[in-house]
Amino acid sequence: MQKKPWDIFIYKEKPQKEKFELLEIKEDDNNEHSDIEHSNIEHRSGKEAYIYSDIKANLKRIKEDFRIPQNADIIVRELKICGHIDAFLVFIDGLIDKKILNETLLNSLMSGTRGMDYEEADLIDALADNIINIGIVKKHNLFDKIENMITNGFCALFIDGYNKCLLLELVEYAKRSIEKPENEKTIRGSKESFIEDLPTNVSMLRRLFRNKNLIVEYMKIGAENNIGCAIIYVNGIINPEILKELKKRINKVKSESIIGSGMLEQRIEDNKWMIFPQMLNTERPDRAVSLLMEGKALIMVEGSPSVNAVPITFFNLYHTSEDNSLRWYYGSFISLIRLLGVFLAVFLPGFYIALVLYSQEMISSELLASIAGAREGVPFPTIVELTLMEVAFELIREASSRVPGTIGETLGIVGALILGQAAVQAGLVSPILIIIVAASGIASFVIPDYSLSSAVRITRFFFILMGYLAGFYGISIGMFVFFALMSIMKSFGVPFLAPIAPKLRTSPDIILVKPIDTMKYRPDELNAVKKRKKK
Amino acid sequence: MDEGKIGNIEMICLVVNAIVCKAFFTSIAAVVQKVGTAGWYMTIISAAVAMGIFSLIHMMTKAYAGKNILEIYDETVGKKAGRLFALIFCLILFLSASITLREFTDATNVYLLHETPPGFIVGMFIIAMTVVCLLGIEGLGRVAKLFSYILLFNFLIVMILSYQRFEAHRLYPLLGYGLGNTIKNGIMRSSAYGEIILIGVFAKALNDTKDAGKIGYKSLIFGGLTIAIILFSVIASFPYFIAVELADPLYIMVSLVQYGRFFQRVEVVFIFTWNLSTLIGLTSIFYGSINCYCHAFNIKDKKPIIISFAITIYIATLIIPSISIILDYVVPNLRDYGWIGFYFPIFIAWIMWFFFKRGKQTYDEKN
Amino acid sequence: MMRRISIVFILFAVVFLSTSCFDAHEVDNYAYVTTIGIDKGVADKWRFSFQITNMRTGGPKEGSGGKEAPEYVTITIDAPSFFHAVNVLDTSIARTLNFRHTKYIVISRDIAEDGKFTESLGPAIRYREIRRTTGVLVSTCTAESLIQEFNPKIGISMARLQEGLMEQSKETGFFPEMRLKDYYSDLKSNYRQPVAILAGVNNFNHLPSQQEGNNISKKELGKRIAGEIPRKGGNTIEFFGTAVFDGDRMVSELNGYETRIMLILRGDYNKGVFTIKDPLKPELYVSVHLRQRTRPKVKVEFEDGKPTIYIKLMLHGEILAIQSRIDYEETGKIGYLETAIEETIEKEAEALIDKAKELNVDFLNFGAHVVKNFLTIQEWEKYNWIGRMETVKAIVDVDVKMRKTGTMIKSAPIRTAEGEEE
Repeated sequence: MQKKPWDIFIYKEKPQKEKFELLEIKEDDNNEHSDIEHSNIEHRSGKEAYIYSDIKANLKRIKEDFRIPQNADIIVRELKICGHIDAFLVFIDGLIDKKILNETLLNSLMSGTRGMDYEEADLIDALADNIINIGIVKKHNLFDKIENMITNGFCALFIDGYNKCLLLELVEYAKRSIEKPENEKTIRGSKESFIEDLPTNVSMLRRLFRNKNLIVEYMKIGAENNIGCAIIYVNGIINPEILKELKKRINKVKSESIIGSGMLEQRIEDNKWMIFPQMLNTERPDRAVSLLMEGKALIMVEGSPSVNAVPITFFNLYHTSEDNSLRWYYGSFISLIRLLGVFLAVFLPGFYIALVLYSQEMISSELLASIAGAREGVPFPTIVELTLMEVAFELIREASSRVPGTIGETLGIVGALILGQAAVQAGLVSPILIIIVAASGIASFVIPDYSLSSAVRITRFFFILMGYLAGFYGISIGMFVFFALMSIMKSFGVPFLAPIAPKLRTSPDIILVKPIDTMKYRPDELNAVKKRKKK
Repeated sequence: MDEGKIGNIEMICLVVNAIVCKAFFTSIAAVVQKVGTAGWYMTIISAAVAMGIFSLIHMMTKAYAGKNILEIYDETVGKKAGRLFALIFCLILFLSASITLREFTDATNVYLLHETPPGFIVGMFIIAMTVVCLLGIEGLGRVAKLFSYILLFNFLIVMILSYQRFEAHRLYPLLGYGLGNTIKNGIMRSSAYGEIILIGVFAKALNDTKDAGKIGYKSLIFGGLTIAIILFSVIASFPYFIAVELADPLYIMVSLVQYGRFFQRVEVVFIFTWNLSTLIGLTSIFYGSINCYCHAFNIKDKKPIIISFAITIYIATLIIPSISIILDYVVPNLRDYGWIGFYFPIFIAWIMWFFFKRGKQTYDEKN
Repeated sequence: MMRRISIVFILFAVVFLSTSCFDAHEVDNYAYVTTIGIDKGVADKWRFSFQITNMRTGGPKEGSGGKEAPEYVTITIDAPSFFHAVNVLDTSIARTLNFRHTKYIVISRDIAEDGKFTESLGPAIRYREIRRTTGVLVSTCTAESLIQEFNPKIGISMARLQEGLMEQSKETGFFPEMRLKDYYSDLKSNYRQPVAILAGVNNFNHLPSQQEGNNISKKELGKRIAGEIPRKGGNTIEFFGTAVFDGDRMVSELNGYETRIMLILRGDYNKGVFTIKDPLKPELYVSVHLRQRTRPKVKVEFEDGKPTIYIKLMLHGEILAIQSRIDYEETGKIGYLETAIEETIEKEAEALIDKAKELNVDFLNFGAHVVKNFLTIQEWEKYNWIGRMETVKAIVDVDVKMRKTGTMIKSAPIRTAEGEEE
């Protein structure tokens, strides 16, 4: 269509874009509504609780319980023993020792049983006694028990015609060197982090969350490089809408190659123009599990030593993995300090510039005397001075994170101390300004999330500009617009500032932490199927 | 355009800010001028009157569940008159916003940015207002709620700190210029609470329009209390003949806070309270005005209207050259006769509904 | 999309950066005025004096090199109006005068007595930079000379000296804490009349040398006013006593003791040391530290239009020193001391009220209590309280309780060769 000059004056309604919004769903805390899919699995009783002698029924039941084939790392291996008796093995990929499985167990089951007297009254006992050359072998006939053992790394053997099941211990976790987390350091939390191998990462989660409701779904992403990507969630807690939307978005990604979770994150986030991250990136399995328990989904990409969690809020980014493991006094205290840090990091330089340039009357006389005394002889205007030092600080920060090894740390000290000291002595900047820049710089390091910390540092420049434009008036205008944009932002349909704005029911751990007994609810904004954490 | 929903607390925050933000400016001096030392309870009379009128809105929203006040007008007085009423609302809200904005600009110009041209201050304000309006009522409500607790906290802190300067004798003579005068002015100035109609205008953004009544009463009580506290503290800090002299008594009052050598000059806390509250309040009034306009002309997409309204309000705010004209003619007239615009349509609609439609409605319900 | 956003962004940047920052001023663009003074002019109508600090006190002393510039400069100018003077001065000092950190306004005594404050400096209160917490001084000498001497002789910063001096009102009660906002509102008030701090320069000639001996008549310390205190050394400036105004005209002055009684009657008194004659040994003195715990209880009754005011003052005390070593701590004797203090204060209070009646000026804040008997502003304004001080009948009742005795609960007698003293 050709544009005409007068089109500018004519209004045309624009097509509305489809927006995803997470709506309330019915709560199902007590599993009363069996109409919700798969929520009735847990409490089968009576006959249902025991395994059948019919192998087809067993297979069907196992597939149903583990949600196979959706759940991709649960492997069912069908085989025949004694030449013709149907049997199958169930185990979790990544939790068992494949070498023993392939070379010892399968070998003895398939070829070692040939010629055995299958008419024998108890084939199960015979197998355990004669054939299976594995240390720990258990027998069970309760589905719940068996499934539990499978998630613990046992391999279950079902045989046609027998209402018992053999459980063979083949547990082997990844022994590859798992390293300390680099970016999310804690004092008391666990010291392991994800690695680049996808199955290993899944197995690390499985080890911390031994429940059949943990579902791992594999997808392929990247049209050309075709790497694996896993979506992990807890069935029965997560809101199915989130899952549907997540899969839809991942399937829509048409990119040729996706390398790492960072690229995938940018392709599937809600709003590409917002400054704040809309996904939480963690390299800690314990953190990942606690996010799963809140009703979030994890996205794990092959080759990335970290996982992304959706949907998130500002307060997820604000908390560290450790907050829940600290006693509530310490937790509250640290949380308050961190809040102070966020505020200083965002507003301190802006406030300083507004105060010094516009509102000198609000500084007490003695303080003004110090500021003016320190500024005497500085050739630059305050704004140049401040921008200069902020940029210098960013340079030091970036340089020290790129320089290899221990030089990085020295560089930070050299940069910060020597440069600052020299600049003051040369009379280029005033010492008070160094304090302001350093304080806001340190404050930005208390923010646990890297993306949020970057966002905060950029925001700081925005508030410096606003403070420079119109003093405190400019800053309050900036705050109004900034927080309005922030509160309208959504991550997978969840408002970014929930549960503060909008106000929602939640456990008391937003800023001030209360004793752990009071944490009864999952975050309301996720609209999880189960809202209460405990009964 | 999909409006989005806001919660009850968010709505209260919006309306209370819209009501209270006027009290930061010349209104206080005007009240003291009229009723002297009796100002602090005069405003409670005003709030009570506004509450009486709000109960009419409440009755109508109860009768027409799921509809906002503009749609109720269409139902009760017919499409054409309903459109007229919507335009009256639009106009009065627009005027209220632009005049308060002008007062804000002048106060900022006097106390904070002395040399900045008013156009720049208004321009920045309107850009912020426009951006937030474009985000819709959801963003506005949330940001209002986010700030309101902090603002309330700041406000209370400032009031507690000012306690040092209060002197009881300044509240005497208790009756001001006589009881009759106080009551008369109290009723006249009930338009200070006229922004309560915003609840009617925004009713559809609530999760349940039935809550509108509860929200309205709460906002009026809260707004009335806040304004009463402001007036009380100003009257207790300045004798009545000084309070009428001051362009912004509240600001001066805060600047007097002084505890020791270091803890003084705390206006900066107050500047944020003042600016943010005005931003929230005026944006909601402005958005309400746009809502009425769009309803009157049956416009679905508000975005282009918001921008043209922003330009109009910029002009309307700056068109009067001198603050003296505003203080002598515009503000007093808006405050004293504003009730015609705010409450007149409600009265008519209520009368029409009460005497003509109600019977039919109950008859319909029975069948 | 990207292009549109960048265009909008660039437009905003251009518009804002080119039109903003009207009010952005570096701290060192200003010359901060700490004190303003006003005298009668010679070359023009008024003579204004400004004390300017170069705000160097807190800064690094080393570096920069060269000679230390003087930290405070006093500039005096004759001009027809305040702002005229300010504007003319800006041309010579290369910085803009700024009044945001002005701590005191000094009015010379002759200006105050002519009632010219409202013409000369009073209108400047409208100016946004002058804070209403500024102190108001009436200088016993010229304002110019007072300002010249108004700087710290002991090594403390200017701001600390100026704010610290005002705080001494609460510690001693020898001068009122009078801020511009109170002074200004009292000028227009129909509740009470304004007072101001009396300040003066002490050139140390009131301290007689040892040789001069007994030729000089002794005057009680507290009955002096600012500038007359017999002392030597330290800051030459001193605040002592009160200037009493009727409207804008200064009509009288109160000495240190009277000021204290005035503050007690107004309810603004905090604490201070009283030295009275020992009730049992009148040639010696007893020092007590008195605090006003509660504001005075005042009842006003009208008898044929004339108010009778009953004032009850409640003070708590602590014994500081007893020169006679009489055991006033004992329950039996403490009454003597209390009665003696009560009588002293009562007598002084009655004398002060008589002075107020004589001047027909209510500087005792009685109006604040009288007003409670009026219902509407019309009645109150018609009654015109401030012209009726002379009709007042005031009855003062003082109640002193000695609560603390210091570190001693008893004092043992001094023993000499002649034996125990008494």
